[in-house]
Amino acid sequence: MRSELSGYVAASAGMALAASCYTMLASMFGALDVKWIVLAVIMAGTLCGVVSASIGELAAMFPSAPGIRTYLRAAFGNHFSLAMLFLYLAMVAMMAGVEGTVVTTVLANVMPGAPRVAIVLSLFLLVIATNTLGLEPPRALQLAMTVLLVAGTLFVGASALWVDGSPPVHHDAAMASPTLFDLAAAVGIAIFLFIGFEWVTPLGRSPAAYQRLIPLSMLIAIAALIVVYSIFAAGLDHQLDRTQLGGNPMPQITLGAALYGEPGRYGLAAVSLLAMLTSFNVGLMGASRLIYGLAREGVLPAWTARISLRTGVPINAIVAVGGVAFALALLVIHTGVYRLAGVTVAAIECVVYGALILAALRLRRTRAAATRPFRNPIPIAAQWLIAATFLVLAACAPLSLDGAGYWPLALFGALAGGAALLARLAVNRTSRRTLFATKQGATP
Amino acid sequence: MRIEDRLVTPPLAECLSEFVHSVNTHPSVAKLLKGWEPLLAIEATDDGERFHLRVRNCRVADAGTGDPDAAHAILIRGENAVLAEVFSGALNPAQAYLEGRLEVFGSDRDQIKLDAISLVLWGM
Repeated sequence: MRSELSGYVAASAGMALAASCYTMLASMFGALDVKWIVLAVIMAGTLCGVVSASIGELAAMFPSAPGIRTYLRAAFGNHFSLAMLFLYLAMVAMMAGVEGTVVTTVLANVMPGAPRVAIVLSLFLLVIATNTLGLEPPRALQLAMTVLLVAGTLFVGASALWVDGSPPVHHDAAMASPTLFDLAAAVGIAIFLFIGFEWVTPLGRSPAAYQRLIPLSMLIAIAALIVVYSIFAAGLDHQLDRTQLGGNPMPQITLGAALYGEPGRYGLAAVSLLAMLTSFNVGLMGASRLIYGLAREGVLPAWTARISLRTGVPINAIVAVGGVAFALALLVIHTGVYRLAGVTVAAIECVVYGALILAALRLRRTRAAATRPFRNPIPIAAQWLIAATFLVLAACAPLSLDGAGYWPLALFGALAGGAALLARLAVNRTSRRTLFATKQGATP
Repeated sequence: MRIEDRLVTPPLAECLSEFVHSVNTHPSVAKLLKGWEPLLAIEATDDGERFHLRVRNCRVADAGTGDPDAAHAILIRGENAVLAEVFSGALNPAQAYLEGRLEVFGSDRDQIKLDAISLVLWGM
């Protein structure tokens, strides 16, 4: 049981700890002192811990189910569920864009002269090819990669704290205490650091796993990430000054170089690549799986459900998702708007998490008699409050980007509107198909 | 299949027997099963009926009741009627899975392979 739990913890933490997490962590230094950043990380992690309990309850009700689609459909109906799913897929694609940008920047730093487009294309082709060929690393290797990633990040952060570093070039004056809005915005952005922990829910090996192991694994993963991010943030602050952090897409490389020179630069580049492989690869497979599921329902065109008979891999879905993610990565690299994409991703995830808490609460009323092998122990009133908090954070995070005005909010609004419209079109399409099929069946 | 036919689904054991026959005689399914040799453990959650189908050499080589051990096992659970409809082609397994009426405990690849079998056999 212990090895099964550790597998789930590794999966949950590995999916959350992406290369772009270092970037988003550093971006918070533009507005806050490190102690407020650590507080924001702890608060975001705590909120995610509450969500994980709701997700655990939903997963226990629908073990092995395709997560968000099933939970929200059961609670709020097909249209809302589809709208949220399309928004979620847009978020995954944007996340891939941010991740691709960060890792490309990192690799370009250690391989100067290599064209960025070639780097990002190679990365995406590698991941897409690996997935379409059905190559899957053994579970033990995946576990080892995650442990290495988490331990490596923790080690570097702790080293930065305990090694006497050179004083920063600019002595950072203490910043004024943040306003409530600044703190809320920081917490909203910090949610980004935990995105993906919930992707462990379809991985349960048996119904029994959903009684305790899956919910517990998410909680342990979040707690571990809180510690890792807090120490890493403190390490960044101890070694680097604000001018080296704010707007730096690869603070982990800067820190590695400050601590260990060239070996540190290359070592942290390797850690970044590992972070990308453990999260991006899983995200691509997960998103293509969702696309495949939508095609099998009849929501998306049938060609997106085409699979390789030899490997059982949904190749068209993988290529489609990979292609969109690659295009977004190129766009983000070309325009440099990775922080805009990052805060939008965080805002969308806040909405999704709020919706999941509300879904669990709604199902307690509409399916009161359903079996719940795991039940969220947090008082209902607190759950309502935290769901509302997430919606507030979703509004604050996009407004936190200096100089961006209302553009992040406009982007978020456009994506949400587009998702709702797509969902309506999809519902109409499946209704017409059902009506047609019924008429065919009724014909003698 | 007409709506009237769907209302009268044979017993699960009979559906599984027909399913095994269809799998073992369909040329495209053999291609799908190449190099994939799991034990499909089927469990009805309402009446406790249990069956297993062992896939070997591109066909279902062994079918029976009970709960044998296997290193590569995929657990498929649902109410007896849902399982009967899924294994007779009367119900889209992807839809049942989405609605939480069908539970499949296995890797992504295993789940998609299973779903692909129904897609190849019945086009749904």
